Amino acid sequence: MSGKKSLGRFLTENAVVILFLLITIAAIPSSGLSIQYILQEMITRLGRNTFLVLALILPIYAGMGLNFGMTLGAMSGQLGLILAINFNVGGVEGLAFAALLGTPVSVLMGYICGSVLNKAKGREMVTGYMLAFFINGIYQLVILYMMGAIFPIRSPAILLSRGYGIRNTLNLEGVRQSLDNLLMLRLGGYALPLATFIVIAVLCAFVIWFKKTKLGQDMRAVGHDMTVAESAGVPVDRTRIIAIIISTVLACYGQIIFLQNMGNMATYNAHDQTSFFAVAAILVGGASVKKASIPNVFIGVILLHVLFVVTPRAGQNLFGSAMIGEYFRQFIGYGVIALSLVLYAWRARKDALRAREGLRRASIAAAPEGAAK
Amino acid sequence: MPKSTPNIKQFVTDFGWPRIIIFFFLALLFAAAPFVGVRMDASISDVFNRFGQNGLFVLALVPMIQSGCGLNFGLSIGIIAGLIGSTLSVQLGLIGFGGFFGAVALALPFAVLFGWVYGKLLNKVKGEEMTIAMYVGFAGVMFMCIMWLVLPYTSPTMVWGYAGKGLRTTITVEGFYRQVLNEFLAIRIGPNFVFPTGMLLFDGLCAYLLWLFMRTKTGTAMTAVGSNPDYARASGISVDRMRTTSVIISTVLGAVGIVVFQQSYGFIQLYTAPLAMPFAAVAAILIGGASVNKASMVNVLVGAFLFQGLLTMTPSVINSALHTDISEVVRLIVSNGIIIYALTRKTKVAK
Amino acid sequence: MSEKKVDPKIAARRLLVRGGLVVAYVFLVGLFFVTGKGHTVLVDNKDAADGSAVGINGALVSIDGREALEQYPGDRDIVLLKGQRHRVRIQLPSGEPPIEMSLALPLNTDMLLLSIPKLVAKQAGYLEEFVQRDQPRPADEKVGDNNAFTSPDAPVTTPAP
Repeated sequence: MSGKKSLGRFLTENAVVILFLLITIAAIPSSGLSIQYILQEMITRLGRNTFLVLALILPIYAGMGLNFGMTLGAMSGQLGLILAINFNVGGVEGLAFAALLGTPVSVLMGYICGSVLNKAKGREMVTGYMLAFFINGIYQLVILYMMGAIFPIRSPAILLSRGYGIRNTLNLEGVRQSLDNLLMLRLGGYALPLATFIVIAVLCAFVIWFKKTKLGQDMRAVGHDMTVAESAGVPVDRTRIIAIIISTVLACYGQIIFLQNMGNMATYNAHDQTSFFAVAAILVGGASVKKASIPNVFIGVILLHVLFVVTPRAGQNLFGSAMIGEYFRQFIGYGVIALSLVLYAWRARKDALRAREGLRRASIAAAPEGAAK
Repeated sequence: MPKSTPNIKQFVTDFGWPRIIIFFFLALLFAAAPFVGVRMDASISDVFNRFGQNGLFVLALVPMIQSGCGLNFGLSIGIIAGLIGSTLSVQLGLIGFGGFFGAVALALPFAVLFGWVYGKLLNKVKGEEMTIAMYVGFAGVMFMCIMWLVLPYTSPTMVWGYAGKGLRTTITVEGFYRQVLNEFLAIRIGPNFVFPTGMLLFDGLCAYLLWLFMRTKTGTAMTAVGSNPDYARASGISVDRMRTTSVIISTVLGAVGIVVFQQSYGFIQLYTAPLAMPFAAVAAILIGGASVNKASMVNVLVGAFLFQGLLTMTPSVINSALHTDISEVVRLIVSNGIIIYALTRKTKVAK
Repeated sequence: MSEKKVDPKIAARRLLVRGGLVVAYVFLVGLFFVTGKGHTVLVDNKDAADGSAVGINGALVSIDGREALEQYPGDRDIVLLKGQRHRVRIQLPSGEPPIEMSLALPLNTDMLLLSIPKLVAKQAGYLEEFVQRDQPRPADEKVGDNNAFTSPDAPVTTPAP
């Protein structure tokens, strides 16, 4: 009986991963893509996206759900890149320059985001999502109207022809793939951007180390139960803000790594989908609103991106329209987020019911002893 | 001095600074309009028109807020049902009022069905409704994107000419039911002012019906579920059923809303068009003074008017005054700012 | 937090650490700015305007040990450089030992003109800032036309009518 139950439990807990694995495996043959191509594509995309997805872990740990406000960090990173392009700072130094300039902005953004989320406890996710829209407005105000008009821009090539506002698409030629090419390892026909993976590994080590620090333990306590943590003397609001600040700063660096790999930047919409992809990836990897680990990130990035690589081709081959594949992968992305949120909320309610029932049973069992006294 | 004006203070805290700022901003825009060469009659006509177009979306949010399901970020589910109805109506070649009411009638069964499923789903995830609603809405829209390409529509006004299949991104309803409500009893003053009587009457009728419904036994039970679920359960009301009912009503209103929108706007917009529509409606009702768990008809009226007024006046006034297209950014900041403001307010039980 | 009395020693140390961080931050920004600053160098083999130096027929110019540029009179090649200190090596066709010298680019310049004839003739002003007068600019894309919900590497979202 218990064996059957644990299998059922395993299935419900990993329903999203299993479902995703099945869809992906089914879609690979119909895409007609070679395994070699898909593997190379996975290596590239792991380097491109993993850092961004890792940025989501700490807020989940602190019980704040999926940090849709990470988009704020992405925008800070883009601001840094715009300045690096403006001053014509290139190469890895250019990336470091962009990251350094983006850091104070993303700390400020993280502080704002954390403070707002503290006022919206219990609905952090929706609020974070809307905050990203709001700050997007401010970002556009600064980049599209103030740059070149109020803030001087050195390089006229990145301005719109009207004289102010940054162009819609920026060519990141100076920094293009500079991190990836810093240590490019070629192994049997595959290109492995070693430097990018080292950066990702360092971040993983940081996350593991951070969880063991006093602050990390505080976060865990806050994530577990805010009132208990508060009474134990943990500064709840401050800890939550710090979790968001770290996440935002990491998202800033993550976006810079993402964009150096892409090589071009859509100034006004490169960040639109950042949180969508990152959140979908970590959920596909088996994380939930309350629990996420580093393996979830890697599994998620691989699974989500295999599907993303494969579906447009599969759509083209099966239905004669690449658009169907494109819509399908977006449907899958949004659907996965919805499904895992639903499964999580549903499971949490069931667990709460079970716990309440268990408590009742325990109190009934304890009652006769109490009565005997 | 401040002590002598407790009423104003109370009013300000209740209504909230952001809303007051928006109100004065809009008043300023109207005041400035004649000086920058914006025609007042055309602007006001435009505001009425957009108010009528979008009013039902805002109205659609009321039942779910009242029943405690929060802001319906998944309103696009209802919009999808409406799109199915309107495309079917065009496919069947229904014309004039027949086309409009045909579209509504054909949309209704879908809206009820979708609303029922969507409501059942939201019952399973109490406390997380808004985030999940948003993503269910997104996923639904993307799913329908595939469907619009695949479903066997044949009407030549709707399918891509060269392929002979797959619906166009925008479909004109000219010759079907374009402006049937707007033109009904429309009042024209001068060349630039049209008062869309029929559309506003229809909106008013829907609002009145909802208002009546909220006063029936079921309606009051619904409000009770939202304001105090434990009390409601104790007095024998099925919480889940009430919530499902509210979601169905919201979805139906969303479906009817999009058909009203189309007849005035003149086009059916398919594919990714419905993605952003719920956000505009949510911003509007919040500007009108609603909170995450309390909304009234006054909120709908004031909110839809203020928000649509803002959408109409900011582009025309700001663009002609500053000669830039900055209004889109102003809209982004204002509408999303007000949503954040509402989400971060302490949810106290309103009087 | 600030209400609490903090031991002045700790307060001083905290201030020191914070100050140190700010200094380190500024230093790093400066460092990466200087080392990563890109310069476009136009390696030019035209006659000097006053005719004092003439183009060299078949000079091999190599910067920082890169592959040499083979230059004939009137040639102008573009080299992208990072940082300010570089080495130039010029091999003349006459077979003399190559000229080697270090090149210091001013930090605040984007584009420079390096005149090989002047350099070989050891004239002053072989390196000067080059200001582009009218850059060809691609047309603006439509701004604000954002299809916010498609993926970055999506195919064109709207099918052609």
